[in-house]
Amino acid sequence: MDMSQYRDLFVSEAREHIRTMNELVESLSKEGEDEEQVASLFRMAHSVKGMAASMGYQAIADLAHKMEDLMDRVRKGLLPFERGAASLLLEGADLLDAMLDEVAEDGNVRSDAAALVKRLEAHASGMHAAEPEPGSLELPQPPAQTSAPSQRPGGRERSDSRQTIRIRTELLDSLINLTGELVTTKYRFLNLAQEIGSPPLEEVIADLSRLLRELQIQVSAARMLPFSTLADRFPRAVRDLARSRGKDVTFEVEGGELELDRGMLEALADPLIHLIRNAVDHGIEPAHIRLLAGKPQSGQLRLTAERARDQFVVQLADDGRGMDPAVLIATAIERGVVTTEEGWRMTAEQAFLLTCQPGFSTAREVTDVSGRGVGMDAARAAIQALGGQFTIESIPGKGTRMVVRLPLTIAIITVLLVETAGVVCAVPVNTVLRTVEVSPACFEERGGRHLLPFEEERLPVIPLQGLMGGYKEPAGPVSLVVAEVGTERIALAVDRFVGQQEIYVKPLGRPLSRLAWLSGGAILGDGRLVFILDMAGVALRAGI
Amino acid sequence: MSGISGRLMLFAAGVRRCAVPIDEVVEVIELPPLFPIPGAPSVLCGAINSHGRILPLVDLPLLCGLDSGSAPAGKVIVFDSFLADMALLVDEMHEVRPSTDILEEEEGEMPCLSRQLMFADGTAHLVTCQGVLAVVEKVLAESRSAAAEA
Repeated sequence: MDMSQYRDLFVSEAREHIRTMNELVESLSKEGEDEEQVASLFRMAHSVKGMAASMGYQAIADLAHKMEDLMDRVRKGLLPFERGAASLLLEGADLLDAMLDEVAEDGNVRSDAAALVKRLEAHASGMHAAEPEPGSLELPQPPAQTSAPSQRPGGRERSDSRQTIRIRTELLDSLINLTGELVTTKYRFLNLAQEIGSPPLEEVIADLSRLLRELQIQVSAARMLPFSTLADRFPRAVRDLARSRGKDVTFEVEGGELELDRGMLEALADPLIHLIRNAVDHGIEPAHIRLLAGKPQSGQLRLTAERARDQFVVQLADDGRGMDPAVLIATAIERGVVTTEEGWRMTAEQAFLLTCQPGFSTAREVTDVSGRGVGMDAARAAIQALGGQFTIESIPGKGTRMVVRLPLTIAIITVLLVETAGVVCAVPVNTVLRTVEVSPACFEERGGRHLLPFEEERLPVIPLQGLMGGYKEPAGPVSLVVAEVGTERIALAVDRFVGQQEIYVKPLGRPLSRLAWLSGGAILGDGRLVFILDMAGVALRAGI
Repeated sequence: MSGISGRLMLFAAGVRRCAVPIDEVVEVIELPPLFPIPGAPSVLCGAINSHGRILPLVDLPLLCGLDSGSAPAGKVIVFDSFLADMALLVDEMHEVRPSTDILEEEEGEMPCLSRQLMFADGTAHLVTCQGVLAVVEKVLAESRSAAAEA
């Protein structure tokens, strides 16, 4: 029987089981033995063994079998679940993942698990050496094993009675593409209906709009995944990194159940890992320094996710050494990143964002992990490319908080269409605070730039015409879009507001992706192409 | 003997004859409606809608500093999306030739015209997607720096 047609399904299901195994090992290591979790871990290994054996991947089945054996002894109370067992199981999970990569690539397993299998056997039989811990800190030990597992309350089998079906991610992408094209076509119908002035047609289009809206919601929902899909990868990374640096770090995640667009989650993975590595490597101090500072030995790193209006907010907070804005500004001036005058005018928030300048690093040493000033730059660029905003708060000696604000979905967004010099551009409404029309007489002048008095601030006015080439001083009232860019606000001057509508975002490939002031494009209902402005990029280009 | 394999599509860009590997091209079309790209340098003369993809149109004669011909630019060569999301504005399409027709090749005069190919009936400049992309991205980087300094 040709099993290759089931290969994708096998790989996908096995990966899920391995991911669950990793989570369970982390949980058992942190919180101590729990009968239900031990039983679940045994079942996961058993399932992977069974699936692999039925597919003919004996090397995978053998490795999973030894992991299952080890867990069998733990659940029977014959072996404690301690650090050695946890390390072996994590190592086994990694190797299983690598084997699955090979299977996904060409159907052949090449990795050799023989050495690990022997160590698993040795550990399961009780013949293992204590794990060497050169210079590293002790992790909390699990509570002592009792000898009467039958006295523990029976665990409840968790089951999900909802029926589910697996869908290839390419199919989901295709559905959102089609939905986006339908949105564009809807606007084409609307334009035609308005041109020919047909109320019955407009009514039908109104019904179509409602159905389309519902379809859009359902398809978007199908693309949503819990934040934990991403966040669950991090405890392991934090643990390994902290160990390699001889640090003790407690990592917590909150808001893992909140859902975010799949595409957004995938794109967030790299930026978040950069930020986490930076926090562990440079933020959190070694234990002896923390104790001298009166802090707990173990550094705290917390990743939280929450929904705020139409944004998804991710925060990474540590209680480490924090950053001194004065040091950052001095370094930036010394390196010519900013002038002395610019440095004097900088706020603390702006100073913290200096760490995202390419090549900027105040790290006393470059490690293999961070300190080259590359990670933060790449992280911020990736976040902005998603239409998100990135800010940093920090108190020297106390800690740092990095905040990422993202739109809920990247595929279909609502934009404000604006026109300048005959060119229509789109501004994502999630960046728009307000639209105003003012007389040029309201502007103040400073350093050759117009400033708009707005609430209690003076906002720099950026004429969009400057982007088009050629600028004329406005004669009549000026239309302005007040937008938020990081911790700052700007006022984008345009010729007129065209309207607001939903658009299906078309990503820009090379070379247009190099234009930092454009975050995407769209095709309007009347066939016109418009480009979506990246307000941070527009501000940067204008020298703000 | 040329190191180039496969077939080449010959076309006119300005007064020069050029050749592009046919494997890099997905289609050749008449010039469609053009839409401005905010803040883009003039070598990107606009954006086109190519089957739902938004592609910048590269003015090849302007990019390579070629003399303009008398025939108005009216043909568009669309590159394979695996290579880049862009299209070339050229003047006129000629024929497809096998690479075995190339008698000799020499170093090109400029980065986007990477090689000069000698055929029995004259020369043609080899234009590749990677070559054009590299020059366009350099121009974009220079225009970003110029805007930052202004």
